[in-house]
Amino acid sequence: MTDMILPALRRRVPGFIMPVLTLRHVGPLLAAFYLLLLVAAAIAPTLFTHIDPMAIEPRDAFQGPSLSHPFGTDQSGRDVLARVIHGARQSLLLGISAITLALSFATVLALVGGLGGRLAEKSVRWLLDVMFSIPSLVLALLFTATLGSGIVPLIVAIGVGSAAGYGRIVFGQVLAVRRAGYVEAARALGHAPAGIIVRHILPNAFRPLIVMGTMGIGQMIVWSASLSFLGLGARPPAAEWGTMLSMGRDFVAEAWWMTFFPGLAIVVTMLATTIAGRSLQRLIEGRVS
Amino acid sequence: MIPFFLRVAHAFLAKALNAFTVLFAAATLCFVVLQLTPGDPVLAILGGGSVNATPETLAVARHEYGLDRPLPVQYGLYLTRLAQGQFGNSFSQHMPVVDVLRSQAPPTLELMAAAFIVAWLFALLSTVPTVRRRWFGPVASSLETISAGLPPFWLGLLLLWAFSFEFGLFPPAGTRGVLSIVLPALALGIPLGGFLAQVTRESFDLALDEPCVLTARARGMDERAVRLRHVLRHALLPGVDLSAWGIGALVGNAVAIEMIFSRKGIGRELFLAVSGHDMPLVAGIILFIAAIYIIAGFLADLLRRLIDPRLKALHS
Amino acid sequence: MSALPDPVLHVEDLSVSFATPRGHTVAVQNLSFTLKPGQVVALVGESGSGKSVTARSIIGLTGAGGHVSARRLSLGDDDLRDLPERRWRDIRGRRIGMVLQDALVALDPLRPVGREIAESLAVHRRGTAKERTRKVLELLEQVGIREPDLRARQRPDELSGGLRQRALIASAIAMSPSLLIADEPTTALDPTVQAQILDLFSSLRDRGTGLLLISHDLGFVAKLADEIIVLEHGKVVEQGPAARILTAPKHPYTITLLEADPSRHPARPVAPEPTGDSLLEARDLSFIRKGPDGVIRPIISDVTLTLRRGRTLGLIGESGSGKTTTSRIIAGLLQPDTGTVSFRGEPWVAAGAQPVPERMRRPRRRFMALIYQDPLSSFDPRWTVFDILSDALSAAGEPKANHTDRIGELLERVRLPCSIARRRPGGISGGQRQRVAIARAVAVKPDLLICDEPVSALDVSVQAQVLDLLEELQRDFGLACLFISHDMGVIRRMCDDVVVMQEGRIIEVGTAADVLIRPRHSFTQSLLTAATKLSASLPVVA
Repeated sequence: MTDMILPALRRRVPGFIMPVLTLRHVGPLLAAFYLLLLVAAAIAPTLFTHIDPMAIEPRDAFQGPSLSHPFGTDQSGRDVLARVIHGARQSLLLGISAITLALSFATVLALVGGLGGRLAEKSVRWLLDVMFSIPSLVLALLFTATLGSGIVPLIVAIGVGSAAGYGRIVFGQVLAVRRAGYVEAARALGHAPAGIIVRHILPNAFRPLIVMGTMGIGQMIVWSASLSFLGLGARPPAAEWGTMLSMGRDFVAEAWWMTFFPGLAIVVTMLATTIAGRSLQRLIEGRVS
Repeated sequence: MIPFFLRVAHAFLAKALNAFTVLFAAATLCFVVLQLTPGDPVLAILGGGSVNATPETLAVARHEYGLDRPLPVQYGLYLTRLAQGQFGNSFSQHMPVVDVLRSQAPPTLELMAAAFIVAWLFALLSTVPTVRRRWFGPVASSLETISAGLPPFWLGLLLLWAFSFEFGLFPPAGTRGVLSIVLPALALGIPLGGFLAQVTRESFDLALDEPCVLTARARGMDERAVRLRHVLRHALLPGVDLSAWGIGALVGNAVAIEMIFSRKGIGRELFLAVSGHDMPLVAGIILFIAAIYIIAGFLADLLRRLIDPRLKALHS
Repeated sequence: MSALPDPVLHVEDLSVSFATPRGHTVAVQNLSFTLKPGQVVALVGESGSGKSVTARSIIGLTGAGGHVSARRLSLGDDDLRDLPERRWRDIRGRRIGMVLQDALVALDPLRPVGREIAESLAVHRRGTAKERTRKVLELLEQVGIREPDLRARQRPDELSGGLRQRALIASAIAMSPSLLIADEPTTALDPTVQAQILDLFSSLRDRGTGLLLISHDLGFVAKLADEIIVLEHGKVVEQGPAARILTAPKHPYTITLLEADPSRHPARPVAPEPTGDSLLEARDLSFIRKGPDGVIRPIISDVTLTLRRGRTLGLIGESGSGKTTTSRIIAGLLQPDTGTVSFRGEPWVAAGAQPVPERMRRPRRRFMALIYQDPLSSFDPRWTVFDILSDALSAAGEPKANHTDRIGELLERVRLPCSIARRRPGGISGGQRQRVAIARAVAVKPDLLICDEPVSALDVSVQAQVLDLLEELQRDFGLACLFISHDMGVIRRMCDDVVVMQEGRIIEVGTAADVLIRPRHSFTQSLLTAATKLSASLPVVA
């Protein structure tokens, strides 16, 4: 019995040379495709629709999804699909700017705390603790109180509000890398601290930033939508996803599509950036080990 | 050797000190925001811009609230009052901040507790039976990723539309009755549950490879007992750590949820206070939230030590 | 025992394969043996030989994607092939016990050991809860644990390595299984404890338990095994009575394994009395830290040692004896609380108000090179082997233009193919990594090499090659070496002088010949006895 099985077992399937598409690749591919479309829509929305997102057509108000208006129309007869497509630019800009701000802030704190000596380490740890103990959204809400509503205040509020969470991660990473065996090995070779920081600590500590940044875009869009929803973002009737949700809220009983589709765009964007971030992470880790 | 109770006392003091600094920082932040907010606070005190106040009344009010003193003095007075537990009066509600908190906090705390239960139930039911199972695993995992990406307010609106307006199963608004809390709790709990499930799934997967799991199996334990009695406990810590953050996320998201479901609560109150520049109320609510957060952190720490007794030996 | 008892375990043509995305890989092939009550069969092989897979397939826990086939696989009268999971659960723990390596993680680290042992009983519904509690104490006593009442309530991390390994064994024999599988049961333990565990196993054997012993270490199984099976890459290369395999091995791989055992290697020839001038002098070093329980205690105290040019000083001690702390202070990576170190006749480390600043050490650092136990963590994961060596050459002031040539030389020197220069350390084997680490160390042309357990993470045959290489390089470059190890065999083979540490203090100093043959301190004697006990039955290769 075994004599028959074993030769068959010993014969290995020849190793794959070409990467083969499996079920595991479908998600990342779809995510990449969606993100590509999103960027295209942000740069040139007219590629996808010729309808003016702001054009009022009172006769067509509150139309459900149909062939002429796939996502329906809002209370003034504006086409929801066109508004979602045109909203891509705002949302993407919001997401990218906010996460850039948050990560820059986090990075500066982490560097000061991680490389600035014992006192700096303690202070940064304390500062992050304090900032972290006020929920990001509440912090952002407070900031909008001072800065007023609008896109730029929104970016600042979200970016600074979420900086503490990212700061903790980056700070932890800097500390971990600082204690890594290869940093000690470099020290033992007689390299100067500045060289060690540039050659080892920075690149290794900030490797996860790419992944965090990618995933963060989606998260920032969700958070900014929460504030826009409360009326703290762009003023209606701007074609911005969060603002659209805020407008749809009053009509949710009659016109669910006004709420559903902009929200769907947010959710899918968040999913796509999450999946893209995870794939990037796998890619980076695979390259290293 | 230092006696055990002294070490515990020391750890407790360190925690209390940390909590105090957090509260202090939160209070300072509120003060700074108050100073930076455009508009004359006296006008807000007197009831907004609509009041036709004479310069004399303004000056009197300004003096009465100490607003004519130098900033450092104002800051000192502000801190002293807070330290004495005087949160002052809400400008917009014309009642003591403490009274506002007393009536608005319970509904929010109830909502958060319910949402928290929803989140952990979701996280555990979705992970414990499915990790490393051929079909259920990937399906549950995708479900978790999607849930974690749902904005609570959007989920809330959809739930409202589907279950209140279309099917009429739950009341669309209000704070009365058990039924009124179901939809808001789901809207808040499901996204948080997605996050919790994601980290729990990862740690559960790692814990399945622990040698002690192999030992347990070699004892003849069945899969269910192995997962529930050994693996789960090893997999809980990341979720517990995330829970403290989750409490913060719940408070933040409660703002929109309470607006959507027209519930009483400090989230809604905070939003109204921020929009109305009602700074005593803002400060009161922010401090209250920071306190919740501190207590949550404290409980999470306690729970961590219960789950992993080795931590007790390491820290403190 | 009767003269011819029925075998406990009967294995004929056992093969295990795994389904991987790239097809099937065979982990074990055509393994056959029988195990009688009171007998010990040892499976010996290095990592990847399939010995653990065999153990797991016998207890029905081969793992995901594993496929087991056999002409016969029976426990007593029961066929174990294609057993449904329910029947397996009845057999596991009750009729087959399993002991894994390192009880710190093999027992649930979050629970007291008593509960773990009780669980072994409860799973098979043995007795009431009260009876089980009593039985747990009995079992703990049986495996030689004093104060069982107290120990049962402690977690693995609160017990010493020996105690927790005993507790693990107690949980495995709770249901008095007729077969006990022990997979590397002593690997992480100090030699004295290893010897005690060995005694425990032999008493279990004498009571009639069949023992399947799995180890990478021929020396360890030699003491106990009746039959030895040597595995290489899943194939049996040699099988037979222990006495025959150990004295007259036939297969070259078995011979390699036997000779690789450093304790069987002839001791280092006695060096003439101190010739070179002193290269490194450490005086009264101590290092004090607050322990996890808040108590301040010295990690090391009053450590004084001298190392002369061209000689090797061995630092021996059990885990936690302060060896690594000492070496890190000497390497100038850790500031001591008292004492001084001078290196090449100049101050190198000084405790107290006037420490030697790092700035003063930096230009001289290249004269001292380090080799770590875990080389992987000492390499930047982003860098290729070329980058790593090139970085070391720059540290030694080698102009960039020469790097390619010099790296070629270095790789040849440590017998690595040039193609490895483009790989990252994460993607090469443990032995290759340690060679890269050695290449990096000699790249700077140091005077002193500090090796902290450089081979303890490696397979024995690889260990032997790395030790050979170190020896050769040391001779060729005239390096002095501070060699840290817990392994008496390795020390005996590599060192001229020896310093023995216990609980942070030096308890014995002398030439290797003196200390290892005529130890004066009782602790050194017990270390040596334990080490010889483990390899006593191995004849020295002529």
